[in-house]
Amino acid sequence: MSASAVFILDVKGKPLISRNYKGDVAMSKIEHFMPLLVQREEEGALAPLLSHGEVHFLWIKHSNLYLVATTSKNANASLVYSFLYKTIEVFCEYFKELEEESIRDNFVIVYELLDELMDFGFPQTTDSKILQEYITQQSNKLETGKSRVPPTVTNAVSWRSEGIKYKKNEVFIDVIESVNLLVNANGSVLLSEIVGTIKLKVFLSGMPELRLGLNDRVLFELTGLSGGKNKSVELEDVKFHQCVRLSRFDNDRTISFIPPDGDFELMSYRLSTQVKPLIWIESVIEKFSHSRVEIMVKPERNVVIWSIKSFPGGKEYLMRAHFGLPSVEKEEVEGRPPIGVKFEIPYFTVSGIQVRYMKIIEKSGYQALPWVRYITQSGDYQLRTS
Amino acid sequence: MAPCSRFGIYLFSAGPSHPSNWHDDLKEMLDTNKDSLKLEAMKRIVAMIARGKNASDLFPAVVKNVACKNIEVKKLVYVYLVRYAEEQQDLALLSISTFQRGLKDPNQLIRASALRVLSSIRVPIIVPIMMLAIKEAASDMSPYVRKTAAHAIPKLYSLDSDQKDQLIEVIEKLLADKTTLVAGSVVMAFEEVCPERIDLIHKNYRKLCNLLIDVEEWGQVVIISMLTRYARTQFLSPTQNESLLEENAEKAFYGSEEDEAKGAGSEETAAAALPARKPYIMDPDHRLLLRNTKPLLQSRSAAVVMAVAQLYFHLAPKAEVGARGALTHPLRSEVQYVVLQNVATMSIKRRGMFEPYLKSFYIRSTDPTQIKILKLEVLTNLANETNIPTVLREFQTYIRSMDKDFVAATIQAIGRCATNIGRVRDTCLNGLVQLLSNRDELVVAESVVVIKKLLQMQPAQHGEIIKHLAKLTDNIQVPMARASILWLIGEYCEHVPRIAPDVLRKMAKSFTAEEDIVKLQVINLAAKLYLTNSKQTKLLTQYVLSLAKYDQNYDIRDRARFTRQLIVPSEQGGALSRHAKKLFLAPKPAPVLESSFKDRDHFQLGSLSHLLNAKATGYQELPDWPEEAPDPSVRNVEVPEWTKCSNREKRKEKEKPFYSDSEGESGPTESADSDPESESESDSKSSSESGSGESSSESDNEDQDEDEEKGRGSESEQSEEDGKRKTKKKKKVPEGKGEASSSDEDSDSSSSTSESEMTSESEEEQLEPASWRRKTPPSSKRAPATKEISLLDLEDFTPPSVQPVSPPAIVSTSLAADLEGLTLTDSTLVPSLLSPVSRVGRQELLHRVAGEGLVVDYTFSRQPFSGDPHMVSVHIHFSNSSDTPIKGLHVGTPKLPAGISIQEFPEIESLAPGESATAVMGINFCDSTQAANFQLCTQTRQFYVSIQPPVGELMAPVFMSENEFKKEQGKLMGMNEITEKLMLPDTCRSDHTVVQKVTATANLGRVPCGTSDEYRFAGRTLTSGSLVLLTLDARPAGAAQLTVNSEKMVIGTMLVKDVIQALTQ
Repeated sequence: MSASAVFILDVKGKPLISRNYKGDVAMSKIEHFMPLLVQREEEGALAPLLSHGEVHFLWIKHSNLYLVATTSKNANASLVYSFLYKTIEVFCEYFKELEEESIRDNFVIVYELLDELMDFGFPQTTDSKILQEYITQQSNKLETGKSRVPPTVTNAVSWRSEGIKYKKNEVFIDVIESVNLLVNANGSVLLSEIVGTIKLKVFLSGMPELRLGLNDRVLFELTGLSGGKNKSVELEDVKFHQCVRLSRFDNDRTISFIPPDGDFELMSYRLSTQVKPLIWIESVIEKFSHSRVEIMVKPERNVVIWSIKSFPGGKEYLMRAHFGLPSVEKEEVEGRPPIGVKFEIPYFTVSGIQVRYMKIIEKSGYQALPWVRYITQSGDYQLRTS
Repeated sequence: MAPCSRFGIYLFSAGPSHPSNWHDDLKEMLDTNKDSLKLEAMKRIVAMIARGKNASDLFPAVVKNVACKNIEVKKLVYVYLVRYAEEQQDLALLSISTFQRGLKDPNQLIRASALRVLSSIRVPIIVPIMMLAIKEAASDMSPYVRKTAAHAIPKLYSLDSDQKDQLIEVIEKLLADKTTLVAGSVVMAFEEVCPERIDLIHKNYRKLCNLLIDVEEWGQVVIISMLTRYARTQFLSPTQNESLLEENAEKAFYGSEEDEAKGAGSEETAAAALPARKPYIMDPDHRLLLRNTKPLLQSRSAAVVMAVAQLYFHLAPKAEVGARGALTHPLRSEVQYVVLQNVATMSIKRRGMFEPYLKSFYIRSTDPTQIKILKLEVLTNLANETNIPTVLREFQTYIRSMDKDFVAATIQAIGRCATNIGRVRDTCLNGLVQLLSNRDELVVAESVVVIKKLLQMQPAQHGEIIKHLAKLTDNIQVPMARASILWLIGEYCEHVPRIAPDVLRKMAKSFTAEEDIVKLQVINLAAKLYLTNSKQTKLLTQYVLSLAKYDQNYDIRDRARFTRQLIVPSEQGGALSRHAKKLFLAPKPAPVLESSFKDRDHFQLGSLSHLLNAKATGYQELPDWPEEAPDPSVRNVEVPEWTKCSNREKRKEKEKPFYSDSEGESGPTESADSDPESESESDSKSSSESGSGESSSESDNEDQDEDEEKGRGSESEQSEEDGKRKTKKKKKVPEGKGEASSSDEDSDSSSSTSESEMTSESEEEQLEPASWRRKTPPSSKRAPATKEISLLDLEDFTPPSVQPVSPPAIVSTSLAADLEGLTLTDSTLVPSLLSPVSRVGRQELLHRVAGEGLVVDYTFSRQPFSGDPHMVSVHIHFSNSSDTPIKGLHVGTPKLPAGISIQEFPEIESLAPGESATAVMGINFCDSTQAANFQLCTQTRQFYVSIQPPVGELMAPVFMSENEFKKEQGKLMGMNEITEKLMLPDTCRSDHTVVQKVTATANLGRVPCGTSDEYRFAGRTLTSGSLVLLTLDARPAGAAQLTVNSEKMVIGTMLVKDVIQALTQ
């Protein structure tokens, strides 16, 4: 069905650690991986799927590591890739950063994790919160009476364990929107969209039942709240964390869930409604004689970086840069790279999305405080110059 | 280069130089009594394994610790055993007894891990033990252990495939399991061991569909892909009717070859079967699958989204585009490459699916080349008449890119657009010709190649371009481009009679310096010119051929010799040379530029095989749809909920004429609030409850408590909850399984249902005597029902406030519904007698100026649309105020929001000046007031028009008694009730005006009423058939209260607004 073995390779293609799940593909096959990769790269046809005879390598790269799944059978490709990404996610939760160094320092845990994540080529428990309960970093601590097994793996609610306690019950909600913009050289907007995520940091005791209310247009229409002063937004492509009851949402647009403990991304959405570009850039690039071009070229990275600490609304800034370049010229200077913009606007959402309420209900009936924070960021914000 | 980095890996280990010391040390540690030392030792050993070092000589020392009490040590010992058991089989057997003990442990997790390790030890000797362990675990109390058992099945199978039959038994047993935890794993085992035993799925099909949403993501992916295959074997193709309709539409312009080629097989058979074919009706189970997977598009896991998308692609009618935006979303992150590959395949067949998201596929300069090329592929596939200008403009930007491979791909893409879309061919060609003056040679060369292909399609008009190309031979150095130009000149030398010989002259001069492919084309050109214009070129040709005769390349020598024999008449007077002209200058078919993804869709999307575009081992072919649906009753399980209501729907659908391709669209919304949905919810709930709370039956009660608490929290919630319960109840009662406690009611309802069934049966018999396969005797359905009820109806027991609904009333309404659906004549007569014309009079669809003389108005006639009872019938009035006749009026390809469908009016062939005509078209608005946008086409022009229905037109009157009305109203309280106060103006206080105004606003039927100050109206929405009840309570002095009860809250709210407006005006 899916992977036969999973390897983690260093940047040179040497296996750091591997786990053979099915034993139907020889482990030595991995030696073909790197040469293939190099060869394909030279051909300019690098793809996340490489094949050597009957063996297929499905791989992804993370910082300086390659994660490779081998298979000789017809696997579900998207499942394998998702699994590899999930693996990275889990490792990152454990080691903050997933690098060669962190693997070397934690061979045992990595091996145990690989063991637990997948069984006979089929993903098993992949929720890092749950894994952390019984695969622990300082296993020495556990000598006393940790023979109790985590009940969570056997639960229907597989993402939260029972008996969590906090003195202060709080939920932090971060609404983060990033703006993707693509403008062509004539200044017309080709693509403008907002991709938003709602992240939660949950410090709640017990098994709380949460319900999130947004100013969702469809919901407003359903309940007759639309019109009048209530500003609503139309969310598209809403995606939810596993914990959200999708059938509920499908029926009546209620977002109800039992949250996992700690940080997680509750949902993501997209709005393709046109927004006025937040930051507009007009650029004039003039090329004078042979040796003078009016853009900066920084050695190595080939970019001009202009950073503005704070940018009050409605203001304009202008930069003019001249560069003296050596008179040696490439035959052709064509295809100017686009201008990218990075920015962050706190306490603001472009879409106007609002958290209307967050209801927290738990058996014990404690009071819990929800905190909300809004941030707008630049996503893929590009203005083409040619 | 790999071997030289070997040292990097062992850097920090103690080094392989003193292995023996190391191991002694470890052995000692393992032999102590201290757990901490053992643990330390085991950690070091596992670290060795992880690094790929051999630790097998420690086996005896490690295996002793398998019985260690410390769970941490134990865990690591397990890890070790799994790794080395195969190598040290005899020693491994020592540990088996420990596992066998572990299998009996009271702790479920220990049982599970014992089974897991036991099954991971690949030692043939223990096969019988494993088999036994799996069998036992399959009936374990704990779902977690059962899940582990499912995982163990493929392991055992790979170890010893002779066990297959026994394993299938276990799989069969586990498939019947009702917990979500097990479902994914057992389907995985099924796929691995016996994917061909599709019959095992029958009984579990509905359960799997319903559980699906609660299964963890990996399980979802596996189940969805299995169900896709299942559905392909069990249901009929939903596209068979559509394909005929659509093909005609599509043939009108381009790309028809594609479709034909692809569908050739199925279409032929379809065409053959056409006269005999029965109208297509989607099996309710097929619908169930589509419906239950849809919410999963909102999953955060790209793999799940992908799986659902492929399911929709392979199973859904064309109109239902399940994936759409959901797929363009993950483009930014995760599995972009795979997703794009699949999108590329899908976009060929279902362009409409991604068209609105065209811009998501715009290329960013930061994308890697592979992704760029895939995106380009998608953009090209999506290009059509309307969006081509945008696409081409975008392509222009790409041509300036630095990435040369990408630029070349872009030029090819332009070429493909040009061949696909005739209208822009010239534009593209011009653009490409401009590229010829580009400074980058690669760009020029690629353009030449593409231009050559384009010119081949219509060479006559493009003499100029060929001349231009001829000039380029002086500059272009890329061999492929030169060769292309030469070929073009040779092929079309008649269009450039003066230039061609000159080109040949130049080429003859540089012949020796040319690349091989160019040389071959020079010979080719020479031969063709010799045949058409021997006077000017005879000498040149001979010169070229002599040069070629002594070329180093034997291909060229051969070609020269062969050409000479053909064209130069020799004494022997070869028969061939007489036909040389025919041989060389035969008309050649233009090449077809097509997508490389064209035929990929025969691989199941999302599979590795699709990605490779080749069959990978173990690929399960996605079967073609069967021609005859296999017996659907095999899926009937004891749980009878599905049967009745969906039957009824189906009966209604039965009547639909065969050409209504809206079938698919009307389906989902109609069912959105009809019974299987609510059923599925309760079903899945109950099963998850039984999963988690197997040992403690208390959890159920707790759940309910929680529910109630929640209810108290806010009123609206409660009412919403109530509303749900009620709707659920309403639906369940007619099936004869109301409250199991009161036997009275039970018998009552059963008698009434059987009554209703009898009537409907007899009617049905008249209509369609042969085909009702799904029917099973009512008694057999009902009998087992009582058993299951306790679980399913838990929710319904809780609220004591809910009045038990007396069955007769329901039956009569449902009977009415039956009648409404079944007897066409009745329903056409009755409402037209009773309902006045819509308040919304003639609306303008197309103004005289905009329509260039064509004026189009529309009215809502309020007569049931004869083709499809779910459609609103709209009368369209055309009049021609211009002075030329307008010809070929018809509806052009509509771009409709999801769910909305149109039944077009028959084409009006001609409309003379001053003449008017009326046509009727049906629109299924899906119970929403979204506008239906479509094109009105004449022979020469297309107009974009849209019809937006007032909410009152989305329903049809229903007749009921006052009592029935009250009962139904009682069930639609809370959230479903909308009340508003208003003042009736003096002009609007008489009975007549009130009734008149209300019915003019909404297509409702009046319900007789005892009291004089109350007016009641009832109707059902057209698509879903939800009741809409309207009450107007007029008090003296003009004060009044308007109440609307309807499940469709949106409709209710809007209706209240409209009616108030009508009354107070």
